[in-house]
Amino acid sequence: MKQSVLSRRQFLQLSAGVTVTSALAACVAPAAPAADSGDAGMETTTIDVWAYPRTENDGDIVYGPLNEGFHAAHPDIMVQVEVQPWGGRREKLYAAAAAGEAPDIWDATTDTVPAYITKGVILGLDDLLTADDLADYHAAEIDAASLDGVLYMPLIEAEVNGIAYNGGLLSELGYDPATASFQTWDELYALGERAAEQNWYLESLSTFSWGGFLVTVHEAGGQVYTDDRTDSNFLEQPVIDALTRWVKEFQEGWVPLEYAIGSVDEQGGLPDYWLSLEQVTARREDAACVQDVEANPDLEYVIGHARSMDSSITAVSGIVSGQGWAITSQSDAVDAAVTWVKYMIMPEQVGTRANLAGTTPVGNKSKEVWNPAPCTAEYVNRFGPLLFAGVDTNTLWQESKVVAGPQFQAAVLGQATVEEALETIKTEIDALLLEQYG
Amino acid sequence: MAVAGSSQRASSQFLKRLRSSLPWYPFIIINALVFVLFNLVPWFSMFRYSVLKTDLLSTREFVGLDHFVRMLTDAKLHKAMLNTAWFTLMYIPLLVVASLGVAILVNRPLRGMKAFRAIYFLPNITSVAVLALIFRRFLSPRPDGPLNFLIGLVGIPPQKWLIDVYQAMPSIVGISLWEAFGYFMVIWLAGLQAIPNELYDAAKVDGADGWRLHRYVTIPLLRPTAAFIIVIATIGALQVFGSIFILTGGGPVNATTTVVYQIYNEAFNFGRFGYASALSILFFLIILIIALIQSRYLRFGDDVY
Repeated sequence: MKQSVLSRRQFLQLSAGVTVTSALAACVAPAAPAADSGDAGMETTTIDVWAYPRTENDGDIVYGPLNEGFHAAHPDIMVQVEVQPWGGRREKLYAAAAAGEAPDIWDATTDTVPAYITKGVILGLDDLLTADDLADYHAAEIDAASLDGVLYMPLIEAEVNGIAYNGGLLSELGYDPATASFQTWDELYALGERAAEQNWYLESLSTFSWGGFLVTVHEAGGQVYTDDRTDSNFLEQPVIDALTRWVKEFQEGWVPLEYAIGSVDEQGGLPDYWLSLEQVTARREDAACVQDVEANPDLEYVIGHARSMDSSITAVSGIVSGQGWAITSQSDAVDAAVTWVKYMIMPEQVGTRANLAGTTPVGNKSKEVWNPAPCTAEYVNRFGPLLFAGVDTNTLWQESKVVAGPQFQAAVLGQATVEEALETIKTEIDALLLEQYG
Repeated sequence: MAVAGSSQRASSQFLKRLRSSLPWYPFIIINALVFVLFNLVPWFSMFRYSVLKTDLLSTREFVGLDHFVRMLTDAKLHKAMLNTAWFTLMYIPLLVVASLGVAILVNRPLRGMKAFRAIYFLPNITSVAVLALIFRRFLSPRPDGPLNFLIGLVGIPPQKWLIDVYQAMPSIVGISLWEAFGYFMVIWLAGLQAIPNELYDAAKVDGADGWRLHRYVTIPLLRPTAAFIIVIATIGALQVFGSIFILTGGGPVNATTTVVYQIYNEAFNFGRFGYASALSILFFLIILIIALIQSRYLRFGDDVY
């Protein structure tokens, strides 16, 4: 019988050696990236950036070209961009910050930021950025990235929310897609009735879409939070009108019932009735006129108009929601981080990034560099000026979503009246306001 | 002299034993380190945070037992506890019966049984996220949804499943069963295959056959396996989270909000890590007590032969 090459003992020793070596290697801190050969002798500062994907490979497609330009201008700063998945981004930053491991710069979304500002995770940038750095921004864009007058995360892109229609379905319902407009709720309801007769959905609403609810309240001419954040207006008529509209749409079967429940952060696994041409209208973003038609060439994408409850109220299109660069308070390279942020918010970089990432830039000059599809440009021009920001968009965003969602469900599923649901929300939200803002 | 010699012998034996066991220590140390870092340290931190009002980032205020007192009046927690109990009470009996039934079927010495075992085990190695997404489509409340279509064939009207306050939790139970029963089937199989054939032969000689063989031989001899399965499955059921997080978000109207989901909510949506830690301690104690009672009455760990 042939003798085994390794004895059992030798095998064990070898395995143990490999395991220990691997464990040690895993525990050793990664080596700092090597400086370019031309920079020999130059002291470099490394900054870590957490970003979230817009393309299939943001590292190469978006940040490769941008950082190449930055590195040429600032060879003493090395930038490590870590493109992370969208899912669980709040929890991951929270855990990293609690462990003292937050990155220097975080690609923050406007909806997650208020909580991090309150908890001191993000630095106020008023003293670090000059008026010249921010010259290209609109007031609403600064407002959306600020809390109590302090700027925290200069935006690089803003999702322009607006209303789109399926022109094919409109034609079949007897409307002329070129001229039809549904700018009041009554006009929308009339469209919903006709769509239901054909077994089509009017639109889709999610009970965890806090942004969607805020837009409905603002369409009704109201505001959820008082300007000083000491009280909420859940029992005021515009908020009642907003939830009543949602209840009506669910109970009439104008919106897909399955969207009534689901994850706080996503609605994965649900059918997209808009793309399957069973839904007449939808709230879409910027380049959807290109992406949706690519996804279903039979979709006749018609850009709609901003809406309000009735013609006496100023129409709104949506919330100024977007992405911006926030510098975390744990950064030990604030100067380098500020240098990078200043470079990235220069209008030409904002425009270039939007081209590379397929997003919509903020600002004016940046749009001169931007090359959107004509329909995207039309969409942004039509809806952009009608976006809103302010106290509603930066007060208790996540908490409002979690408190209101189940009560919205109770109302739309007939477990509670609109007033009962709103009263329950108000009790809980007012307690949170007291806890957070005194 | 004799004492010195004996001490030298003992010392050399000790060194010999140490040398011979040396290769094992790295394996033990690595596991021990992982356990300490990822289990023990967070476990002790949980106790520390439970008496603090903290969001882990900006605030840290000592509140003593306030969090435990608050639990007495926390209506959301009470609802979550009832939901968790309801889930467990539905899940455990169905899981035990279904996995045992399938294990008995696939334990037969017939062709293709290995393939069946593999197929039944597949949902267990499928990501809960993927399963949840598939089931979300399958349980569509539309009349033409897959499950509504199937029950329509036998004349049952369309149901709302996950959208209905009363049907949501049973639907989650069904999905959890689908995911887990293959794993427990394998444990039952191990138990079944450990029963000596001689016992069946002896029972046959005594006149037992068919169902009576299972009644008087299989089931009594599976008691240790059953005890293990019930204890482990109960602990798992009490901690249900993944499918609820993805499928219902605790809804509709908090009908599927379980204790673990509530802990997650308090920690990550409201930033109340102190209260979430206190809830975790309470929940740990509840699970511990249930597991101890089960172990005692199911005589977990006793031999049957």
